[in-house]
Amino acid sequence: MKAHILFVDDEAPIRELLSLYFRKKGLDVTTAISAQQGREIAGRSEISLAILDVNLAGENGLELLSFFRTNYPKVPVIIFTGLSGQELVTKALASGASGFMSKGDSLDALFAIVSRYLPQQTPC
Amino acid sequence: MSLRSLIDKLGGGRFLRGRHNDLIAPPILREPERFPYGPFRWKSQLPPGTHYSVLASPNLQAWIPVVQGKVQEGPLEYVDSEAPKFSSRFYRLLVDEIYSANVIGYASVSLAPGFSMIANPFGSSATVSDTFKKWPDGTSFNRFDTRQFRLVENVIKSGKWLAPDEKLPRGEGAIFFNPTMDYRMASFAGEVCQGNLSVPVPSGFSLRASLVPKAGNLVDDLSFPIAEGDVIHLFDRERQKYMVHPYQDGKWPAGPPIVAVGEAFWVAKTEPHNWVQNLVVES
Repeated sequence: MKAHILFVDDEAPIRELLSLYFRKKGLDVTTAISAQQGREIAGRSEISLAILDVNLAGENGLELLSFFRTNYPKVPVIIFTGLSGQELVTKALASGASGFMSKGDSLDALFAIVSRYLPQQTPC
Repeated sequence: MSLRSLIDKLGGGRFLRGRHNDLIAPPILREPERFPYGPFRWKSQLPPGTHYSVLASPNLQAWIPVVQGKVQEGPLEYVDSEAPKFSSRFYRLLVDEIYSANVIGYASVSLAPGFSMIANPFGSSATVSDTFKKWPDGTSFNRFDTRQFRLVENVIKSGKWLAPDEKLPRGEGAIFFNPTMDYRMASFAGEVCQGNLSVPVPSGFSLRASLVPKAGNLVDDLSFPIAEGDVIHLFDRERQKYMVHPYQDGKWPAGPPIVAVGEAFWVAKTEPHNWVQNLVVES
């Protein structure tokens, strides 16, 4: 079964390109443009990993992270941001984020980070 | 009635002379085609015996005569074997001190392994299957649907495009995926549209590109209607990552976006606006 990624980001350029890239890498990706939509998708499908943008319109990605930690504690969550700063990284990791990635990274670098947190496929 | 339709009405674009052998309609360049091995060809209908000069330019500003001659029989057919030396080149004819009614040309885009953001800067009806021939399975061409907020993918499977007749209209951009490990080239060819041209830019995100085949600073050279809070995303195809250019306090903190011919960009617009470009190729 393909790993299923939930990608919540309201910035179309990165959300659309990265989800297209991940699909070409063999992953199943569902995108959401708001925290509310992300919650709904998580409620109706099995998620292997969630990628959450920090600066979502209306709701902070860190609040959505708390939702995931409470309701889906086994799902790894990667915080994704265009912002830099150790404070944000520390806060995200303290809130239960599994990892952190930057919008300034190349597609290959982002995929390498995501791969680290995907469940390992067992050979047939 | 536009000049083009008047010319068509007068003689379907033929080079016409009146009773006193005076010129009554300028010639029109037709059938532009970029061959896979590099040369560029076009045709024009001129009466036998007509003396002509072909002018070429890499930027629509500096024109040089590349060949002069006299039409023998049939339409004038010009093949530019120097075309591979230029990433884009434009052509017009000069006959009896009259310029052709139109300008045509081509623009080559380099398609790195992975993704590139591309645009067709010409008024042409070329389809994806015309423009991207002999690409392998897995190649994809993606346009952004601004109503569904998602990319719509057209892909090659079993050697064929799923939607072979899809076009890339001027002013719109697309994301192209090259699944190979090689750099490849693609060419857009067609007529350079002139006059006051415009394309709507909605609020929110859209994939856009210049309506004319010109490169340069998006605002200063290409007249993009930038506003406070807008953000431009260019894609660095070499490094496969975005270069983000926010416009804040009337400035570009990350430097102004510089766009190449045939390159598209994402724009996040705070308010909808029409992008108007005026191009007149000087005589």
